Amino acid sequence: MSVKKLLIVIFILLILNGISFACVGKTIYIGHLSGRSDELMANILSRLITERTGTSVKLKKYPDMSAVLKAGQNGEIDIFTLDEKSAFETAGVKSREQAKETYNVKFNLVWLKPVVEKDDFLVPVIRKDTLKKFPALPKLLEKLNGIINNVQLEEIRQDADKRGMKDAIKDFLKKKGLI
Amino acid sequence: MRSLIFLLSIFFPVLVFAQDMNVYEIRTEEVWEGEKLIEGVVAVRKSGKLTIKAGTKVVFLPVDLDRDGIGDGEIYVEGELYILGEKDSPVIFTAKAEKIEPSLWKYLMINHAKYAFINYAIFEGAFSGVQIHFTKADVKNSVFRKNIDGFRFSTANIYVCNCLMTENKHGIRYEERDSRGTIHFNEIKNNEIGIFPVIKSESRVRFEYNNIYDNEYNIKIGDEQKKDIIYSNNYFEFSEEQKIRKKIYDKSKDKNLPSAIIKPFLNKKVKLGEHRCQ
Repeated sequence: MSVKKLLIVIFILLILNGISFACVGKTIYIGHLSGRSDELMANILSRLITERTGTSVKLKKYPDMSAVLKAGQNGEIDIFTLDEKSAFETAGVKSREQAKETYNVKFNLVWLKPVVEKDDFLVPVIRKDTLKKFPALPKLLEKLNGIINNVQLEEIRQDADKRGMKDAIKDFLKKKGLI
Repeated sequence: MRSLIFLLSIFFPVLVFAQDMNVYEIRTEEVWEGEKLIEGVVAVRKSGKLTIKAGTKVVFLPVDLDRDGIGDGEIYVEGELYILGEKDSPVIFTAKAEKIEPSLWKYLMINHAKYAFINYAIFEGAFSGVQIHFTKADVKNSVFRKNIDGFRFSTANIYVCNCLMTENKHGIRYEERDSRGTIHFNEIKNNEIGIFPVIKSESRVRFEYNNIYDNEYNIKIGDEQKKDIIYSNNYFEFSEEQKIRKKIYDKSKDKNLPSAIIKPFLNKKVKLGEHRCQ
C-alpha cells in the first residue's frame, strides 16, 4: 500500500472513528493540585462546563505545579488554574503580563480572564489545541469572573464538608445563576 | 504492515482496546427472546437485522475495561433494528447489578442505520438509554429511566410518542443539527433536566403535547445554542408563565442564551396513551 493510500484510509477511518465514538461525549481533562482549594476550584470549573455544555469532564491530580504545567504542555490535561506565585515561579518572571506572554509563547498555553483578579489572583489556563476544539469555553469560564473570592471558596468548602462537594458546588453555581 | 499497526494504535486506541473486549457481530438476520446476557459489544452490521421479541430481557454485565466510569456494554446498530415489546410484555435493557444507576452500560447506539423501530421497551442504568444519529427511527410506548441521557439524538429523522423519561440526568438530550421529526404525547418528569438542547437547534423537531414537569429545570438551553427554540403547546406544570419560566434555563437566566418559546402553553396535563401515536 502506498503512503498516499494509507493516509487516505487513515483519514476516512478517523472521520468514522469520530462519528462512532464522539457520542459518549468529548472529554475535557482538568488538572489540579492535591490541596482542598485546588480540588474545589477544579470541581467548580468541571461542574460549570458539564452543566452548560453537556461535555464530560474528568479531573487529574498532580503533586506540584511543575507537574501540572508539564501535563498541560503535553496534552495530558486541557485546563488548570494558576495563582500568581505559581505563575511567576513556573514562568521565571516577575509580572503577570510577562508570565501570560511566557505561557502563550513558550508553553502554548492561554490565560483566560482571571476568576479572581486582585490579590488572590487566580486564572484558568487552557491549551491552544483545546481552544480549537472548544472555542466557546473561554466565554463560559469567564462567567466566573468576579463571582468567586477566597471568602466564598471557604464557604463552599465548609458546605462541602457537610454535604459533599457535588451538592455544595451545584447549589453555589445555581444560586449565582450560572447553571 | 508493522507501520500500519503502529499508526492504527496511535490513531485508534479504541480499536486496539476493542481487541480485548468481546465484540459479537450480527451480519444476517437474528431474533432474540428470553434473557440475553451481554459482555462487551453487540454490533449489528449494515447487512444485519436484529429483531427482539416481546418479553426479552437484555442484561449488560458490568465491565469497564477502559475505566472511564461508564460500563463498556453496548449495542451498536448500523443495519436494522426491531424491538417488538408489548404493553404487558416489554423488552427490558438493564444491567446486572444490585442497584440500577446510570452508566452501568453504555448505550443502544443507532448510527447510520437503515431503520429502527422501538416499541414497549424499558431502558435503565445506561449512559444513554438510546442514541440515534443519521437514522430514521420510530420510538413508541417506551420508558427511559436512571440513565445519564434517557433519550439522545442528533441529525436524525425521528418520531417519539407515548414514552416516559424519568430519573435521568437529561430526559431528552439532543443536538438537532439537521434532524426532522416529532416528539409528542410523552411524559418527561423527575429528571435533573427535562429537555437539554445542546447546540444547533432550529426547531425542526417539533416538541408538542408533552407533559414536562417536576424536573429541576424542565428545559435547559445549552451554552452554544444560538437561536430561540420553539416548545409551544406543551404542559409545564404551571398555568402562569412566570412560574413556568422559573424552571427554564434560557435567556431569562443568562442574557447570552436564546429563549425557549413556550407560548401558547397548555394549562392541563395531556392525556397520554398508545392510541395517541401514529
